[in-house]
Amino acid sequence: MSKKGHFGGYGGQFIPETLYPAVRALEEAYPKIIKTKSFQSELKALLKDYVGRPSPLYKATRLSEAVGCSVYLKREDLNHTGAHKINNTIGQILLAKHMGKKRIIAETGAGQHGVATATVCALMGLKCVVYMGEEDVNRQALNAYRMKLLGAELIPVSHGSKTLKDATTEAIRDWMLNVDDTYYLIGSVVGPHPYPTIVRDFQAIIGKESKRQMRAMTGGLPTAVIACVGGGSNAMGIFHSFVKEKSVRLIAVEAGGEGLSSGHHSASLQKGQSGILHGAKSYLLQTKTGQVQLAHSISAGLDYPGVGPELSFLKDEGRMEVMSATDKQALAACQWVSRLEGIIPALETSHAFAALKQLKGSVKKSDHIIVNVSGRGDKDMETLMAHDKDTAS
Amino acid sequence: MKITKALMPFLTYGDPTPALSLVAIEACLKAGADVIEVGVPFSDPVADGPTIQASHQRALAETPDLSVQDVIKGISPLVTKYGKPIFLMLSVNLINHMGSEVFFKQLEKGGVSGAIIPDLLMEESAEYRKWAKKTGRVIADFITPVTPPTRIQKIVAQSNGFIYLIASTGITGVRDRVDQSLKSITKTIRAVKNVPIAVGFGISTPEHVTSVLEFADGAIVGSALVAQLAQAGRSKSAIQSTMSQAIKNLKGLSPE
Ligand SMILES: Cc1ncc(COP(=O)(O)O)c(C=O)c1O
Repeated sequence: MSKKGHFGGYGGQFIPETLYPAVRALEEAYPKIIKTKSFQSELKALLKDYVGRPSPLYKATRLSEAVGCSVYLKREDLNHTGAHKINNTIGQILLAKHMGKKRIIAETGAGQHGVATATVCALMGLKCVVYMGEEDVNRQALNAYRMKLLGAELIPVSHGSKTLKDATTEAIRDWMLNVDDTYYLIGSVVGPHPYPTIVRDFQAIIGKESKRQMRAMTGGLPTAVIACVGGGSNAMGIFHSFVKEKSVRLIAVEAGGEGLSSGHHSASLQKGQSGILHGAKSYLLQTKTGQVQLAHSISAGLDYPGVGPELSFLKDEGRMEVMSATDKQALAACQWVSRLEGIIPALETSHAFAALKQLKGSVKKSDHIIVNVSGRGDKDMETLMAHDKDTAS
Repeated sequence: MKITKALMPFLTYGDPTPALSLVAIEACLKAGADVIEVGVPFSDPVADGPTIQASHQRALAETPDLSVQDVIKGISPLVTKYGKPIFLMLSVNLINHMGSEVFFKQLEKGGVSGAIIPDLLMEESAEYRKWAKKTGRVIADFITPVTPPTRIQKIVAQSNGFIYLIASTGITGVRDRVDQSLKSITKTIRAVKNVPIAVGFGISTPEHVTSVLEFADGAIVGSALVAQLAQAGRSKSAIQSTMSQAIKNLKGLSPE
């Protein structure tokens, strides 16, 4: 990090003055609280007994055969609530509790972060309000209901694109009106400093475990690590421990939607320019006059025009490769993995598998590739059923 | 920068159309507005409330490729004609996108006094301030009821324009009372430096304006005017009379 809260030229705190005291308080509290014994022991116990960590690193034999190298799956889909999102919400809810906050707000796209937030709020007995775009409420109806069942108040957002971008804007507005008692629990490595760092730190356990498990299984490091990118939390989570290991390829997979040249995609790193949205500078999809462009992806969790500042930086540094998978490729990859391994990945995660498929032919037999299985596909059944014709074999 | 006992209306450029928004702005100037804030529509105006966000959306639906340059070109003739300070209020991304050098040079060329950037903290503002200074423009500095006193001192010390004092925490929108703690914040500000103070966010009635101008130099009225303009529809004469009446009303002048 160069300047405070910056990753190269990205990141920072682009927020209204009204939010300054709240963001500053978080910035001061975070490093102090996470150092305390009580925080660390609570976190450790919950990750183990409530989330079910460590998640397995599984050698996928049939997938390995199909690709032509050793493929390992980091099973974040086996976490409680079915995705990596809970690693972050457990950490942040403890932080909120230690800061004495009584009311938790969150934004959600696919609903995984909303569910993970509603879950930890139920666990801690805290009031929970989740903002979700109307379009996402419809296409992720199951998750919308799960949040309600968990006791959260779900507020559908009906302006703009009615997706994650607008849910985030609405959550920030709520925070401005209720800064005193409210903790904003962001779901990805986005937002003003210190959020990208906090979320990355709480997700870094994915990479830490993977590295240790890989060593135990193969005696060495992986050749490559692949993760899908919405805001970038599962990617930063698994990449963080490998950034300094220069031999390890870090591959981020964006949602190519209807194709990178169609204008309907969420490929911020490949098609965006430096921009400022939701409190930080990063790659951002924009029109030629600087309006934020609507993103598109079949997976609600990747449907976001921005991306985390640290990923923006890693791309510019040349440390991370960026690939993409279209809606169709993701759907096909979902079926491919389901039938080869008996694991139904989330549509977000299916983008990472689609990229793995694209690597076939360029990999060596001796390569060891880890795919971050960020979540499971249960929430996507309706979308998958609706597209069954496209994927029918 | 001189602002005294000023009524400062805010309107969104392009709502309902670029030409009609200029009609509305001109009606405000004719009716005695002292300073104008022109909002540049943005797809994701995080610091604005529902009324102004809806106004931004109407403007962008009408003119999707509206640019900051278009706004500056549009309002520039009104600067010349009325000689009153005009500021652009816009999200930082719009400036970042065109580059701060180009932005401030265009403000200078168009005679626009400066920029109000609601999502730019002092800590991130160096590059923007540099070009504002080089072009003789001003960046307004925000202070809110929750800004700690030590921070108020820092903000005021480096201010070269005016202080935009937020009347209540939260986003823009119509509120029914003016927070009395504002008076004491005003004292804290003046103890550092004699810089003009304009109060905004939630100012909507003539009573608000009168009570604000007892201790501050300017009263900013946004959402209330934007809502009235929306009621006036797309008729030029209805817009002129609605805006003119609204400004006279806010100034405490009896209706004609
Ligand atoms: C299963 C899954 N994977 C990935 C993502 C994308 O988020 P991120 O890029 O922050 O990991 C989501 C977001 O909802 C998700 O639910």
